[in-house]
Amino acid sequence: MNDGGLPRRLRAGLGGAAVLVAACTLGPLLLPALPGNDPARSALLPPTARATAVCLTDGTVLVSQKVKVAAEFVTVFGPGKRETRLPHGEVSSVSSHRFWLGSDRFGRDLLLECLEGGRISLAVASLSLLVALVFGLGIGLVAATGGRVTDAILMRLVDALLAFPILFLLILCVTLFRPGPALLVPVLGFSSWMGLARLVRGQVLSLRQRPFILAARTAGSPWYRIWGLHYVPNLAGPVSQDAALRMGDLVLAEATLSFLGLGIPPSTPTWGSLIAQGHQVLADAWWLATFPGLAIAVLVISLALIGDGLQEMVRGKS
Amino acid sequence: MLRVLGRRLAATIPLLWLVATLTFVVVHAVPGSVADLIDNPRLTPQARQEIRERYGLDLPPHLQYLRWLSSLARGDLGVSFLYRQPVRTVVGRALPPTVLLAGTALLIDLLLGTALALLAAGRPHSWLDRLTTVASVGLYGLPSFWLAGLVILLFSVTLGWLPSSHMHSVDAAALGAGARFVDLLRHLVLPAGTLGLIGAAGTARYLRSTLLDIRSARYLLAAEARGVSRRRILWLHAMRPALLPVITVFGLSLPFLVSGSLVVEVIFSWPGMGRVMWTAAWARDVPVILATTLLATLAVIAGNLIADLLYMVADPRSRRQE
Repeated sequence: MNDGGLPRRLRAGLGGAAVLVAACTLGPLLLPALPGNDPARSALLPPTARATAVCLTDGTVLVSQKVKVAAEFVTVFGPGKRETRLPHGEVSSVSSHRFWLGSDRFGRDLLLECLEGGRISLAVASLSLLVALVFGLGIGLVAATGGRVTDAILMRLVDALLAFPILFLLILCVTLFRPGPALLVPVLGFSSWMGLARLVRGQVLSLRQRPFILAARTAGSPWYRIWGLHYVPNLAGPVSQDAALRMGDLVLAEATLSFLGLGIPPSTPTWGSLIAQGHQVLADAWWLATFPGLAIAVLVISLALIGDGLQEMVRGKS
Repeated sequence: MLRVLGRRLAATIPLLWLVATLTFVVVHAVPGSVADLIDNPRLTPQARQEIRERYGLDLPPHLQYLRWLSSLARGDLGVSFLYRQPVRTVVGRALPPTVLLAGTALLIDLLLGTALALLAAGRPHSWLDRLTTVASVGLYGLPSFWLAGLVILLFSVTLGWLPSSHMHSVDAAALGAGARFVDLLRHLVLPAGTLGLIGAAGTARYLRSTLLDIRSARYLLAAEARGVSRRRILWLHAMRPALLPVITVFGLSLPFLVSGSLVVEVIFSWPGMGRVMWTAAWARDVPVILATTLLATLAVIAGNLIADLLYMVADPRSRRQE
């Protein structure tokens, strides 16, 4: 379709993923932090609402769309005709703030929450992917090179684990141990290496029969040269394509578990737990569940496009 | 083909044993999984001892394992801790709703997915193709629980057209047969639609790319040269090989007919297998956990087997390999 350079889908996917990752890692540093933490006196603000944040000397932040600053008192008007009068001595600063994506029940800026949540979701998914890559590559290589008995045992194990209901295993583990990233990463990683192991084993077995590798072996190339020059470059395409799609699945899996209350504890925002929070106030605040969901969708779609593009490249080469 | 079937069925038994053992180890290796239930301070020591004896919990683990395996081999799944009923009854009650929900979803998935793919592949790179591709990629990326929430917000909260949870209305028992059926359908629309829509997106994506791959095959070019109409080529000549991925999707979806979709069942309070699993995992209802896991595994194996057999029926090339 386009001559030279990367396929269009790959570029679109890489672009989308890069923007999202950059926003999630850098965004929280650049945006002004606004930790509202008084649930009784904060409102659910719709997207693009402008509101005033009143910081108190004891660290509490009150967020409201209506604040009156008079000579003696700062009056904060909360939801339901509730008003709080604060003497100037208790107030440390009054600042105006634009909530581009609205706010949650605690008056926290949803944009900031989404970015911070994304950072955690991305970190958990990429670490899990790393675990899956280590297991998948390792076991796939051992099965392909380790002799028939090892191969048979490992592949039957892969069959059994593939037939095992994985989400159920996750729920079981998470209900039995304490949920958190330290549990989530190994569990997610361990539950998603089987496809990769199969892929690597199949690729190595079929590459082994290919003329160029047979030629290299007859010519007396040492094994590390054959692996470095022939196996690794030929494995890189399919493995990275698989990794891109798997990363999308892992982001979805993490979000699902956090949504079910089994992933990261709700005190730390992730995309999944933000959606879960939004689910509880669905009728009052559509924005709370919508934006984190869109963020997940953009990431997963970007990763799918990357996978498609890589497949196109691999197919074009062979 | 019969030989293949026999060989595959024989391989199923060790696989099942492996999964059963794996589940047993996971459930029993965790500290206090069952003891928490029994060591209830409100129970007298005698009552506790009685429960232990009745469920065989005072035996050493390896004897418990053997006892469980032997009763399993006899088809006895044990008694649920939570429901105080045979596991068979609990599962039997949850299975029909799941089959109904997952079956409807699968139907939507395959019909809508195939229709979208045919629309898209009929005129590649037209605006219709672009639209369906964008829609299917977009839907594919959405988390099912998010879509479920949005659908509830739109159809239950804002419009008030459809109920958002459970399988029947509270007063369903008082309704006549026809009204009961309509009531059930109204409850079915949102969960089945959510599941089916996401599935259809994947199917459409998959099927479109195979249809486009096949389009350039030489035998289709030959058919075109013979003067066969475009529509006939797409529907008859290209469809058969392109349906192979649909068989794969079908095989992968079959297990959900038995194990259910946990997330969607939990969100819509659908009284199916997913919810039973979910409750059992939280309540540490070991017999139910073990039984549902085994059942789900069996369903995956059966799905793969059925897909392979269908493949052999549909594709002569795969028959030759065996």
